[in-house]
Amino acid sequence: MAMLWLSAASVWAGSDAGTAFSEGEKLLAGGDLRAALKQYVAAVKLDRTNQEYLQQYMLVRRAVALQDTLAREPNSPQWEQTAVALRSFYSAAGLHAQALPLDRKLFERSKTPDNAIQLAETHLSLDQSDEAVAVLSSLNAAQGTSASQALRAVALARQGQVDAARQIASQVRVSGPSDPGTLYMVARMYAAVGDVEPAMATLTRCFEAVPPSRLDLLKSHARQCPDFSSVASRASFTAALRTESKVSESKCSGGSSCSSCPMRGNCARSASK
Amino acid sequence: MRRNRRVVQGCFLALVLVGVFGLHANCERWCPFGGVESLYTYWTEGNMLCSLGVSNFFILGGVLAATLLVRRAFCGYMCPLGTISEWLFRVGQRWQVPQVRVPVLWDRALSMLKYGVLVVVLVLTWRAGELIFRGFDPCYALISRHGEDITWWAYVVSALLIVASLVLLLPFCRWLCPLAAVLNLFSRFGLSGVQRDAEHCSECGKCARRCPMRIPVDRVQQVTAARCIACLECVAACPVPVARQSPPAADPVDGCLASAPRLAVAGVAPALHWGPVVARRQRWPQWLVIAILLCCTMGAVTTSYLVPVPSFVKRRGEAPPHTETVTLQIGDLTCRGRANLFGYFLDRDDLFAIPGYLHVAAWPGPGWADVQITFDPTQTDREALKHAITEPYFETEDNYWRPSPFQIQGYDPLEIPDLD
Repeated sequence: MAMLWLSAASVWAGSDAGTAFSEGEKLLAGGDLRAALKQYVAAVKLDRTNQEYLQQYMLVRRAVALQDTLAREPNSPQWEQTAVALRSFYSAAGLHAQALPLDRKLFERSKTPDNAIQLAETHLSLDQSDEAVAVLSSLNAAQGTSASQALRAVALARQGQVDAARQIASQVRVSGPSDPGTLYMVARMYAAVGDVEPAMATLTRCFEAVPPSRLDLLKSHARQCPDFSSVASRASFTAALRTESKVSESKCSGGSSCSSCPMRGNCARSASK
Repeated sequence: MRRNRRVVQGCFLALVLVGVFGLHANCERWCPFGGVESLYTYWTEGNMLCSLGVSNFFILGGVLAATLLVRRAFCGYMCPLGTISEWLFRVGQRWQVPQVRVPVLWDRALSMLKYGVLVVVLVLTWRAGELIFRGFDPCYALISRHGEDITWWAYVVSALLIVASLVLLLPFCRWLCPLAAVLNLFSRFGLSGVQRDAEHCSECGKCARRCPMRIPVDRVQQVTAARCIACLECVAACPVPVARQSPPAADPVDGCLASAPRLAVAGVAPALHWGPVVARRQRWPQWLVIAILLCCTMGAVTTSYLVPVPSFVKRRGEAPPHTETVTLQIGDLTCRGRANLFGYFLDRDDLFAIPGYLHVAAWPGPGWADVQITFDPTQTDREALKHAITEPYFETEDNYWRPSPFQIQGYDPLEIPDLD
């Protein structure tokens, strides 16, 4: 009987923690980090065993701390590192409006392709394709990368300038091993200009190059990405979404044995990272 | 004698099989060759090869001590691969599979291969920092839960070993085993061995024919061959010289076991016996050989639990005159890979960076793993260490937030209201 009560209490606490966590997620999606943090605290207190709750709480608490640091020390030497970390958090949480001012400041400080891509991506997320084209066009030819060119083509296609986008697409070449970020941009570019076959081939390559722990997130992004909307109903897109990662990533077996660890044989290399 | 040895072999094989398949234990941590493979990495980098632990050093030490005392008795009584190979040969005999007897010269030449295997394995392992040999290791292929890292090569090698073992006696142990190559270096200086009493030897040659390691026992006063596995097959095969001549005069036998001189005086002692090198007439019964082997190996296992040698050590910077050490219990610090990740978090370069000297000694394992962190108290403190271990870390290279998987026993992140 006592066990029954105990398990019932545990289920109740778990569901209550789940409610608090969901509430926190909603508040986070609305951009209210401090209110979300309170809900995460409640969720963690109700369910101490849940690692997801704890890690989300730690992450949001850290984002709040970064916000405070930026507000308190706007010209600190660590400003850029702090701003990049915070904008990355905003972007992952879908808080593009909050990310935009940081992206602008970062791009003003340093007009690198990476900063341009981040700013343009934020503009695109906010349906501001004109601004995205302007940002990417401001990069000179020497600064342009495959990723920045691809994103510019995407922005142009969204503006309706499909021919201009196609012209860029015909010049972009991705051969050999590339980072998944670039491959994803290129896949979006091909999809945006209607080149379905290379789009799906590149998307498949991209998924194969993404570590397993981040693959679901990227696939989710692809499902919702407007650039893939024209191909969403195609079988090739569904097939691409079924692609498995080819990257070895540790998923610790729990310590009893390392025989199933996919990182076995690569531990030394990962240690030097 | 043979039955005793088979019982010991069977017990150890059963122990390993139950450990691997029943308890899902990481039995590789008790492989003495793992200790040999890890020596260089531990010496230079302070951590063990993946899936190994300092227990490998202890068991290696125990086996080497046993080898110095009773030669390669480990091979003859404990090694699971040796047991499987030998038993397969017996099966082959029972099935009347034609057996191959390799000429002595060929046998000697082939036995040199194991030194080459040892060098190749160690060089490749030490260069890669990983157990390169595992992909070809028949022992791992035959006695493991067949994880992702077993290559088809391992099965090919295992199949070859099985087939070869049916027609040849101990082919892997005699010719290819790299651990045998290591043990040979110590076995050569073994403090005990097979002694032959030439006066009572009928020179029938049965001992040499029965020796699985092809040692010409009938032609030596004392077996000094490093490859002797103390199986005592030769001693068991030695006929009692009953009708040869009158019993020899009672020799002065110092320290002899109680029953041995009596038998010798009665003239029924076989010409072969196992005994210490320095007191050749002293006879050691088989149980003493087994007891020495068990004492050495079990002693090593016990010592590994009593002496806390860390299996992961990481050091940064020069130690200042005054340091402080904190011992923490860390959750999810299960293996070398996790320990590397732990070191990665401590070596971070963000808001929670730990400045100055840092020395980490860890004992990765299931549950709460012990970690000792020594630091410069003038530059950091215990709370900063806890933050570095548990706070999420932003990887600038990948633009990615990596949450910390580690928890510290007795440390509640909820009690830290403001980190800045």
